Order: sequence, then C-alpha cells, then structure tokens
Amino acid sequence: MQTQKDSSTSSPRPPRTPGGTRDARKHTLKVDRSGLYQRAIRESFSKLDPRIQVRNPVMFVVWVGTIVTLLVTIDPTLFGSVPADLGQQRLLNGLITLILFFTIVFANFAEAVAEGRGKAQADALRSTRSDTIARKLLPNGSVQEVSSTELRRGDQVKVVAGDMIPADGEVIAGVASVDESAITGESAPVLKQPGTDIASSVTGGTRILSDELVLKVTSDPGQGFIDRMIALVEGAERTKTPNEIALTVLLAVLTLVFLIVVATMPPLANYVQAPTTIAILISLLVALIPTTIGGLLSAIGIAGMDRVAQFNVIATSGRAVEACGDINTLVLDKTGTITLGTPSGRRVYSC
Amino acid sequence: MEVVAEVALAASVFDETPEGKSIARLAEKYRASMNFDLKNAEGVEFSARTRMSGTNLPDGREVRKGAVDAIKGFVRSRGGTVPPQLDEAYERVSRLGGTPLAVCQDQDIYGVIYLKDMVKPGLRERFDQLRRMGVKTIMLTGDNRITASVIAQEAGVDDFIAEATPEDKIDVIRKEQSEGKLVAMTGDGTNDAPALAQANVGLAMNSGTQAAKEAANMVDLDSDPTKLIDLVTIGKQLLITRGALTTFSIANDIAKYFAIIPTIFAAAGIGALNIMGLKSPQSAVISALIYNALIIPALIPLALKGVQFRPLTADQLLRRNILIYGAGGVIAPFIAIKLIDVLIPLS
Repeated sequence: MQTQKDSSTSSPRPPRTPGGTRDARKHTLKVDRSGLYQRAIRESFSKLDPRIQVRNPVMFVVWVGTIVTLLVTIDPTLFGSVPADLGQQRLLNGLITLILFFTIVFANFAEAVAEGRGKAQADALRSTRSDTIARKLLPNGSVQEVSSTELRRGDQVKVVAGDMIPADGEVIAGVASVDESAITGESAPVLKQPGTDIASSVTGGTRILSDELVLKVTSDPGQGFIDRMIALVEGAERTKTPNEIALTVLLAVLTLVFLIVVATMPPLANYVQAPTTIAILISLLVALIPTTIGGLLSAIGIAGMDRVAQFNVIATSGRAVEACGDINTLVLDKTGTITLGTPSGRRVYSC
Repeated sequence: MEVVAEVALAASVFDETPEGKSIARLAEKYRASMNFDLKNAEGVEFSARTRMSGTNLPDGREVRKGAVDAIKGFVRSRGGTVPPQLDEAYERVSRLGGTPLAVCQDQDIYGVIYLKDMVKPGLRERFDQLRRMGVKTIMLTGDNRITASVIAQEAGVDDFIAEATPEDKIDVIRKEQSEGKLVAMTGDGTNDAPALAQANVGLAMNSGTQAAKEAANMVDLDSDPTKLIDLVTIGKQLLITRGALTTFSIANDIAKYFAIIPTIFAAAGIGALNIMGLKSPQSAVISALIYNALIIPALIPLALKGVQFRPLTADQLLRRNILIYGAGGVIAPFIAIKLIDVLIPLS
C-alpha cells in the first residue's frame, strides 16, 4: 500500500506521517495481496447493482443518466426530434454512454481497491480461527470435551501445553506461557497468570506453550476478539461517520442544485434557437456535479481505517479514526509513555 | 565521590534490575572498583518490607542501598547516626526530578545516588509537532509535584497532574470535554476503563485487561502507548485528504462549465465564452466527460495514501489547501480538457 522511509532517523526530522516500513515493525499477519487488483476489477462491475449505487447520491445520478443516454443511443428520437443526422447523433450518444459507464466503474474500483486490503487481511485472520476441541469443566469437577463453538460466556475450560486457546477468557488458575504471535505478531511467548491486571486475559486463537491454565470464557461464539477484528477489517461495521454523512448531504444538495440548473436549460436554449439534446444535458449535469469526491469519498474513509490497521491498531469504527483527527487534548500517563519507565543512575552525592 | 560510588557499586553487584545495572555503570564512570572477592560475597534481595537491597561482603561488612528513610533506619539499628547533609542531598535530588537512593556501609551513610527516569528520545519533537497542530498534551503521574514538573519540562508537555489517582484521569477528561474539546487517552488497567469509555478516543493496550479493551474504541496490538500520537496524525491526514479532494472536485466545475456551456449556446452567438478554443461542440462535451471519468482513477493513489501531512493549525491548513487544491483544481481541467480535445479524433 505504502512504503515509507524508516523512522529511526535522527531528530530534528521533517514532520511527516508516522512511518517505518511495515516489515520493520511488528505486524499482525502476512496478507496475501496477489489477485488484489483482479478482485477489485471484478467488484467494480458487481457494485453496479442499483441497490449499492443508491447509497451514493452523486454516483446514483450518474447511474440514472447512463441509463437515459443508453436509451437515446438506441433511439435518438426518443425524447423528441434531433437537429443533426441520426447516425452521427447515435455515435455521440453512444460515446457519452460509454464514458459515463466508465465513470461509475472507476468510482467503484476506487472503493474496491480500498476494501481489498482489508478483505485479504480478514482472510488471513480467518485462517487462524478454527474450531477446536475444548475441555469444559463441569460444576461437579469432571471434564467434558466439547467443540469450541459450544462455549458460552462464563464457562470454565482447561487448556494444556500445545492446545489452541478456544475462546477469549480470563485466567482463573495456573501459570503458563502463551504464544500470541497469531494476534500480535510478537514471537516471544507471554506469561499468563490469574489476578494480574495485565497478564490474565487470553485471546482465542492463540496457543499455550507450557503448563496448563483454567480459563473463564468471556465471549460468546462469534463475539471474540478475532471475530471482531474480522468484522472490522472487512468493513462489516463500516457505517458512515457523522462527518461523512454531513459531506454526503452537502454533495447531494449540490447535485440537486445542478439538477435544477440543468432542467432550466432547454427552455432557455429553445428561446435562443439553439435546441439541445437530452444526452448533452446529461453530460453537462454529470460534468457539474461533484463526481470526483463523490466517487472517492468512501475510499478515503476505508483507507484511513486501513492505515490505522497497518499500525497494528484495531479501531472499532471509522468514527474512532476520524475522531483522532479532531482531537484537541491528549492525556498521557508518564510511566512507559513519556518516560522509559526504568530510572537509571545519573550521579552520586556524598555526605 | 569515588568512595560513595564504590559503596554503591558494592551494594549493586548482585542487583539484576535495570536500576541496579545502571548504578553499576554509573559507578564505573566514577572509576570505582570492587575491592572484595565476589565469589564469597552474598547478595541481599530487595523486599517491599525492607525497601533496600545490597551485599554482605566476605569480611562481614554490610553494604546497603535503598529508600532514604529505610537506610536511616538501618544505620540507626547498627548504632550509627544520620549525617545532617543527607536531607540536603535528598532535597537536591528531588528538586532535579529524580529519585534519591541512600547508600550505607554498616553504621555509616556515605551518600545519595541520583536516579532519574529517562524521557523517551524524540518525544519532545513529537509534542512540539502536536502543539503546532493545536493539540494540547497533559501528563498524568503518581510522582510528587517537583519530580512531575521536571519531567514535564523535559518532555515539553503543556500541562501535568502530579500525584494523580485513576479518578483524576476521568476528571481531567470531563473537564476538557466540558470546554468543548475532544480528548484522547491510553490505558490498560481495569481502573482505566471508565476514563477510556469517557474519552472521545480511548486506546487500550492489547496486554491490558478485558475491561479496558471493551471500554476503549481502539486496541493497540503492540501495546505501545506512544502510538496515540501516530493515530492523531493519521486521523488528521484523513480529514485533510477528504477536504482537499472536495475542494479539488468543486473547483473543477469552473473549467467544465467553460468547456460545455459555450457549446450548447454556440448558435446564440456567445462564442466569445469559448475561451478554451475547443474544436467543436461534440468534442468539447466528450473531452470534459473523459476528463471527468479519468480524474477518479488518477486520484485513487492520493485517496488511498492521503495527502502529504504537515503539522499546521487548522487555519494554515485551510489556506494551504485552498491554494493547492482550489487553485490547482481550477487550472488542471483547463489544461487536461484542452489536451484531450486536441488528441481525440472528433471533428
């Protein structure tokens, strides 16, 4: 997506977006990006479905316009007589139809490319999630083997070295090292034990490397951390942010204004004895409405979420990413954030 | 000084903590050396009860380092007295924003080691950048006021709250929000959860508790709290990119208008408006539409990568954007449409 220069340069450095190559930092998963463009091209056409197009008022106007110009390509006299030679008129209308069609396809392509990376990432995440056999602890102390999909919040399970942890949970007994590289990309094992603030939560899909743990399940099937991540990167929860809605409304209003402007053209044109054709009017309308931003708006939002994901941060909504841009105040803990967190000797005083 | 360093070194040889190692390094700077047989010496572990650690030397001497009052207690229990300069040294170190550790051998206090937490390198520049963007930074710490103010000055934060409790975190967020500001914070403990939920952007550490992760609206898989600063930059870039492309898109209209309108009313004798000198009405319409279609894929890389980011205030950014994307958006289509008009084989 983007290659940036390594960020370990000495200060003062020119201000820029936070960088460092993605490989230099820890990263979640190797995302298979082959076929990204083929998939995007396929989706550019499948997104032509009017039910999808209607969500974007600007592009929907272009979509309707394309249908109309297609009709006048087939029959140029559909909306009244035309001034020029029929064959020539048909050719011009056909050209306009083709260009309008590609305008929509290009806008779909922009969105599909932006979504593509997330989809590839979701596929990679899905591969880490598999149904495993979990040892569920029954109230009477016996162990029952169940599929991990049957675990519910509040169940207790026992995991031993080599097991895949079946669901998100809190450690309630035992001390063990867990390999969390599937989630964090951090290859060093993490020590988990009960009753600590930091080291007592485990994530489904990670692997226990030593000893054994008793866990209390904290999420129902399909609600776990990995499931949430998949939903997020796939954009299943990508609802429009308030800012995006406001901008969409603004663009829709602009579109409506131009629609009215263009609708008043034919009488004026007739008055000055310069009759126009419907295809030309639609061309004028499409040229005037803000198709550029209308077509790229969702791609910009998705790319923002994706950039956050590249920083190994999972955002619960596009709204959260956007809110980051509007922040006026940062509240930071000193230890570990501002300072390294370990005091070191500077000098001695005798007395 | 050397003597103090020597005692400090002796008290730290068995100390494997980062502090202990840093004291050994510091002692080397003072050219202190060990004058006893390490093999027969015995390390004394730090405990929360004694609040000191040290070494029992082969000849029976006991060297200790630890919190000032703990060491005072130790020498008194050995029948020693506390030198009057000790409190002076303690004060001095506190004023520097450090942690004082007293060192003693048997009943004699030799001096004080000045320990200090390091501000992460490069952070000051980041905070300066944030300030230029109009973002205020507030540091929270459990340290006393003196220590906190020194670190705050070193890191270049705008404001700090010393001796902070978890409740202070949520108070400070509410206070800022009541002034109509949007607040971002990081946290990892269960006691951070209310504040994470209250903040407009709550970034939880993946190593944190379930409660913290559920209350936050972002989770950092690398558990690096400094990432919050990166996120602010990404968010700003998103907003700027959207603004820039909106400006560009609307500015494009002027050229398209001049390309198409004259062609429609050509018969009405407003040929003077055809300032672009396009070949024919058909060619003008088609050229404008081709430009309109091609500009979308042309801007995809910019939409996905984001416009180049500079830490400026909102006003400066607005001016800059209007200049680049507004003026650029007016000029670019004139050139592009004229070029397409020349290239396409329409009469």
